[in-house]
Amino acid sequence: MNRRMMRMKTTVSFRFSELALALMLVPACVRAQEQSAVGVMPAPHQVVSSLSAGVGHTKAMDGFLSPLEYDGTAFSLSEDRVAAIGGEESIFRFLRTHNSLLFSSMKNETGGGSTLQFMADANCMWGWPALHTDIFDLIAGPVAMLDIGALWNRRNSNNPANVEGNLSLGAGADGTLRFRLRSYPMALQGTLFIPLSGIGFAPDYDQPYWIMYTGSQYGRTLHFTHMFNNPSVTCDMALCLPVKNGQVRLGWTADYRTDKLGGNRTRISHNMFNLGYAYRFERKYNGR
Amino acid sequence: MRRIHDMLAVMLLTAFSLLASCTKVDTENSFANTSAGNFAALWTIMDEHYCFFDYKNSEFGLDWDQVYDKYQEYVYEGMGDMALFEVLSSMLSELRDGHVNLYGPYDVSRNWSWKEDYPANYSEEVRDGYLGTDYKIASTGYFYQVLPDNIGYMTIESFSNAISDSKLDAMLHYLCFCNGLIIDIRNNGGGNLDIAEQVASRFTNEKVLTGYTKYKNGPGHNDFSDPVANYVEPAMSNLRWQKPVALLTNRGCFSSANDFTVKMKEMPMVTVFGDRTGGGGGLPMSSELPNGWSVRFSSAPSYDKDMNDIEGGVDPDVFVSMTDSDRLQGIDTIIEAAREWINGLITN
Repeated sequence: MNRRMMRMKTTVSFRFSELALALMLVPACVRAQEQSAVGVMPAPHQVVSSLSAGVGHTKAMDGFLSPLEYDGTAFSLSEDRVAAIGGEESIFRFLRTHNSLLFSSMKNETGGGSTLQFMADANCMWGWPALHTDIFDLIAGPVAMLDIGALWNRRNSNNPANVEGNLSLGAGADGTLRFRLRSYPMALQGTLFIPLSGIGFAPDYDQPYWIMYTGSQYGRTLHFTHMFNNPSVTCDMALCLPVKNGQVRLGWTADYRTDKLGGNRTRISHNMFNLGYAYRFERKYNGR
Repeated sequence: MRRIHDMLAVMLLTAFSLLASCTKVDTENSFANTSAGNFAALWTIMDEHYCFFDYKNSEFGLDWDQVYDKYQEYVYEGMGDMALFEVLSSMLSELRDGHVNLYGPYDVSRNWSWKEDYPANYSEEVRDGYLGTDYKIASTGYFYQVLPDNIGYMTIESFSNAISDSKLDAMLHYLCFCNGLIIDIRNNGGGNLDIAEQVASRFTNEKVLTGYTKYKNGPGHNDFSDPVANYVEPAMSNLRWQKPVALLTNRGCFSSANDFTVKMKEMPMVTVFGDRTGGGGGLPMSSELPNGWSVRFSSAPSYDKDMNDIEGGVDPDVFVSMTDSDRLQGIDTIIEAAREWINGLITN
């Protein structure tokens, strides 16, 4: 038997339900493209502000607490805003912000331990129009991302909890595809945030929390992060259904955050199905 | 051109969708949930996180690689959980550490040799004779009484039981007319370090360096941080004891009681009587095996102010053993030695 029995493995797996949904959306997009070719829809940039509630699935592995992966149900509340903040002539800039609160309750696969998770995210993207057609708009630009939260392993005694915290700068994109289903106007919005570099919090391997602060060694808990020690991605897809002056938004958010800081690996993923309402909705184009 | 843009848009949304449905992209170290996998996981967790390999090697020749070779022969696929628990527990017992436990569905493995292999030097029945029936109770396990020669006697049975500052004030206020104070922590198995520090802060008027703590900062056996100094600050806004203190210890003093002894030894007016403490100088952490069993282990070693390792216990200032003849007569030899010392100070 190999002494350490370590099996280095690289896996890429997909949640089948979400993959199926994703593949179902592609034909819808193609059909929308065909419809828009006859000029059914105008081509404004959307300015949206919405609130959503979500429920979904979460997985977490925090090496400071346990080498085991925990999974369970997550609940979230999120607010998204895309606002035009000015520009020159036909060039607009957009500020896209996303704030969310998430709570989840998880168990390990043996059912022998449970973990609670609290997370708060705030993302802010400064976007420029990257692509504009009759049916599709894409804005892209730099993103500032702040994630902070905690995992509480209810089984551990001396190391029961660990704080998760990252402040990152990255790249983001927000695309909106407008189409009609029969004569009903709809929009499909997708966003992608990828952190590139920043600062992450993590205990220095087995560093007790009291030593971090009473021992004045908190400096060892802050780490420079980049794509190799903190590869993460956040995606969001939403189908927007106009209702009177607003929008009902059906969507899902998937984020995957992983890091190896201070000698400990952390891996957290969420797949959330969201139902929301855009409580303010404007259309602006070229300043009009 | 527009057609190309629209095609690009569809491709981008498809890429978003695929990324969103991707739930796991990772390179990881993992162990299978098999007998061999759980054995290897436990061995590796200890190998990378346990903090006393060098100390135990110098004390009794522990070689963790040899331990692996010794116990892996007992592991085979298909063995029952109870048999596996027995093998894993036996492997951990090689560490001879009271802070190392394996928590399975049927049992909790433990090593209590730090107490069981030595004379008790304590009898609760005899101690109760000193407390009488009219003793005061400050909190769970915090009992106090004034002995006939006007010496205060208090017990702290565990540092797991919190005590408020107001109760400590009330207790010290009640005993303040005594000539001295005996604090009996024999058989105190530990608990919360903060509570030990809270009590110790009543016995100094200035900030005192009491020891150091390191922590593991990497998987190597010698990967440790720089020592972090531990101080006890005086409880400036509360009552502080200014008279002689005799602290009674035995081999049953473990973990935070061991740490309390280290702290109290640095306090002015404090003399420690009894037997060496049981040790337990490593702050524990927890982890888990693939089958869901939990393991606790020492992770951060503590030292006294001279950087002596306190894992193996702390010697008293005055060694006193409880004799059988005294015990049969209801006399606690160690309490009597402490009373004699305090009375001697008063007389002189």
